[in-house]
Amino acid sequence: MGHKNPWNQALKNAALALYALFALFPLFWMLLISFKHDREMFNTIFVFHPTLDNYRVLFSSGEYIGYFLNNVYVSVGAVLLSLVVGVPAAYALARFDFKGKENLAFTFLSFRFAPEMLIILPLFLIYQKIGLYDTPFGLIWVYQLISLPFIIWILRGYFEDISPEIEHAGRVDGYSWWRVFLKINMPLIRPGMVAAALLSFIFVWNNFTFALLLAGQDVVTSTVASLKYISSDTVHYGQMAAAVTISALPEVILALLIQKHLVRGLSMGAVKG
Amino acid sequence: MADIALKQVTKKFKHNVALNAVSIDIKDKEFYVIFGPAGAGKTTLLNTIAGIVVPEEGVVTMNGKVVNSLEPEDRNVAMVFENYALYPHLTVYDNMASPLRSPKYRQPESKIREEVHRVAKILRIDWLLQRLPSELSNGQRQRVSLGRALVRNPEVFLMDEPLTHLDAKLRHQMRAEFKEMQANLNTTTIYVTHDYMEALSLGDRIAVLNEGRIEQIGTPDDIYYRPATEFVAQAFGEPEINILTADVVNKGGSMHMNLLGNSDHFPVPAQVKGILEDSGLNAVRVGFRPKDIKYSFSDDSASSLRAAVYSIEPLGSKAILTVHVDGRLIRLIAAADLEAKPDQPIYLKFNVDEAIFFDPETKRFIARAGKKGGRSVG
Amino acid sequence: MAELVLRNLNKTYTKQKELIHAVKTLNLTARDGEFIAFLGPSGCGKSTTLRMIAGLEDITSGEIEIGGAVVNGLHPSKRNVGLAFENYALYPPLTVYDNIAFNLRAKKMPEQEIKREVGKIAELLRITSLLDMKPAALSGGQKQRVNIARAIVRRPGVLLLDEPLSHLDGKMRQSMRTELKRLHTEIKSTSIIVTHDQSEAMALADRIAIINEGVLQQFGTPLEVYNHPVNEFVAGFVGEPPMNLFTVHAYTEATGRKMFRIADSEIVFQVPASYREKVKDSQSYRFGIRPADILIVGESDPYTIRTNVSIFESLGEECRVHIRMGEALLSLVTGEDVHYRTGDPICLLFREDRIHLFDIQNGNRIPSL
Repeated sequence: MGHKNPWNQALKNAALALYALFALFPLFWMLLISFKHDREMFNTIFVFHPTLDNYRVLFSSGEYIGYFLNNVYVSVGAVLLSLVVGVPAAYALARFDFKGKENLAFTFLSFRFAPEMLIILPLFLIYQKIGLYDTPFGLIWVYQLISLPFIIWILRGYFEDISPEIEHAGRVDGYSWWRVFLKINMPLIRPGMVAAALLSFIFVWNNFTFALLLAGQDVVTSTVASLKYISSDTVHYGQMAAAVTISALPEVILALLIQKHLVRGLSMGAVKG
Repeated sequence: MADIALKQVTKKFKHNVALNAVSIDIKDKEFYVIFGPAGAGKTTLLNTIAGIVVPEEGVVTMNGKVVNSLEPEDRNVAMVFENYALYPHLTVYDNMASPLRSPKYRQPESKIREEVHRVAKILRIDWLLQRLPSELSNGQRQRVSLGRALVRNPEVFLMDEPLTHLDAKLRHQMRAEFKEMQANLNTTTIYVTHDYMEALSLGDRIAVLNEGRIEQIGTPDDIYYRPATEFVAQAFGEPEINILTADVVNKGGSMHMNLLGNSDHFPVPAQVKGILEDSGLNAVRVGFRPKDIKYSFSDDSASSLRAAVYSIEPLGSKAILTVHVDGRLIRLIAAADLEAKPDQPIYLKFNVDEAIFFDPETKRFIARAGKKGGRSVG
Repeated sequence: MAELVLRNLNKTYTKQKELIHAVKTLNLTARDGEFIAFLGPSGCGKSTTLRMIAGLEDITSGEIEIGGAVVNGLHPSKRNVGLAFENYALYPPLTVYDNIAFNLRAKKMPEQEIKREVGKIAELLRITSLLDMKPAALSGGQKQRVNIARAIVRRPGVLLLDEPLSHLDGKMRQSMRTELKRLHTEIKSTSIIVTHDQSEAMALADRIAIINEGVLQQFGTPLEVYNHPVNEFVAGFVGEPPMNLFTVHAYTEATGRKMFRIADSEIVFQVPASYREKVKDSQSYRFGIRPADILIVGESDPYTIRTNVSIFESLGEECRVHIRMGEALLSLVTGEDVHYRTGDPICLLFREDRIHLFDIQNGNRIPSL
């Protein structure tokens, strides 16, 4: 209805800028600290001599690279497993009708509602018993609670957007069900798959609770590894900040990549209207 | 090139019975139309023949062979879907080439190029081959969908309401072009529509489907002049046929109908009289097509029925005149420039020789006197 | 019941950095009690115009007057309009009676009076038996009637209907159309209907405003726009089946007869008497004739063209004959007692008083003598 009031607009922009500052400041501060020497840590925020010492220590010890790679293995593994399991699940929920379908779908989603703390104790005991404690596979499996719901929920929507008529057309054209799935369905859900996989990756990469309590000796992820910078006498804020910054880098890059894919819609121009 | 037959096919979905003991017989090279309103089960019927849907009961045969358990890709049918079902991520060329690249119907690329260009030219979409479906208009998408079917050499063409989503102007044109194409198709074709004009124009035979059941199967003339039920009579023709209940009265040697409170005006035609007498009915349902009712503003004839003008809808070349009499509305065709006041008295003359008679209980066709459309009675 | 005046009405807006001029200097007057249709293809600006009248869209420039008072800037509820819009849904938790009474209650009308008014309208629209039901239990046609009842009960100055019949199927549509026509004769309110269906506009309206790309093409009675279209757009848009429109080239024969040759074909015929003075040699024109105005005549009768049938359709109460001429198809409609096969010879006569000629550049009608 066009009330183009310039004051309104300026006010809105100011409010948004303020909030952006509020949200981004911790990240900015973390970055800043990573370049600060421990002894200058308690100076005023902006006045210090920047140093790369923290980063140097990180890489020279060699351990950190190991932790970082652990995180990579476990996160990528988790997302891959979620895709292999989730894509067919999403398809089934989109296409078939069976008793308790919506209950099942909601159950999947509910995994994300429950705080991890709720289940951590029983899981700890179970993992110990079945020998999955402190193994990569153990983490990959428990991470399904995080990555699977996303993938199923998002891809179900994409599958539902593909008219069943298109699959029928493929069958009638001479392709078997499986070929139709590979050649027609998969390309059409690719944007959704990429977006869901990236989102899931970010969430499992960040995971702290499971990584801490269901692993921790042999399998140490970079999130947990940052705890190592709390030694008995002091907290090495600088190194911790450096570790966390490096750890956050992949996600920041991936988040920027997601933007492009999420904004792209599925152009379903093939169906009438 | 195939006969298709369905014997007592029943298909149920969660909440309804989509097809109820449907039996149809389609001859090789026939252009067979399946007509019915929305929800009648037409698409389900087509899907059953294509193999997309498997019936609970009944048998589907192609060329005499039972194909119930045969997968769609093995049936060698080509289908044009109501919503076109084009592959959104492929160009028009690749969409049309798709069946010829499948494991079942594979052709060498050179042949594919030839076929796609040939069909694209006929459908006048050869200048669109590199576009994506999202870049096409509705009419163009419809033609690509048709093209994807026409590059094939299938046993049967299945077409699901191909003209429904086109605007009126385009539909008229495409229907005529379809008729032109028909002659060259040379393959059994099953065409589904809810538009009676398409059915009458294109079909060698028409099967009328209503709520999962077949009401009638016949040639266009059969369907229009000798509709098996009131439903069929009402579905074909616009404005809709007027069906009135009448008591049958025997006066002396001749039989009359007491229609809308008037008995002397409506003699029963001789050809029909015998059948009515044999049936022993004393009430009957009579159908008059709008063009078989004449009107006049003066009571100039003994056999006129007095009514009152209800509304006039001018349509350019003619007008639809609705009148009310005896608590109900009757529609007739009038001159394009007719003017009248609401509730003005008007006098109707019914052409009983073209009337269609139905049984009041079963709503089924009894008789008709007129000779149009071939045979006359029964 | 009031007069509606649109004066120099304009609507522009920006969409994705482009300036869209949706309604261009529209001037129109609907007399008190008149039923007007805004007819045009989708995107032509008809719905936008209606929404401006309703007050749901800002007016960029120009004025709207209802009952003599300028209503620009007035809130919809203060404009004395009744809306029956397709997505103006009924309130699901209220009964039909409460839905209709809603507006009257908002105006603080006493309950006794409300009961009387609702009862009257319900009887007019034949929904008395539905008054206690909830919207979910109603059919499409019934919902439509309740929608209209709700709009009329306030006795608005202008009744606005946005594609009221588009969601109804064939049979229901036909009967609702008749009912709407009848309703108008009974309540005689100034009404505006927006539709893209030309038969709807023709059947219902006293006058039709045909709009294309924001510009008013013609404003006249159904018979006026049907018989005397001012340009090619109107000629091709109004009437079903659509008017035959094709390009012809004019030339003079050796005998001095002025002739038309149909583009991309060999078919030629004499220029009709009414246009002989106007037509110039070597010029191209757009020729229009309605399918119903082409007659089939015998070989020995005077005919316009003699050719062969390309397509024949038998449609129950009428038949269509089509003759292919290059890219175009010449179609004619005739009574049911003929039957042709492809290739059969046929003689056709164009009714001289029903021929239309349009300028090939701007599409405007070329007046005959």
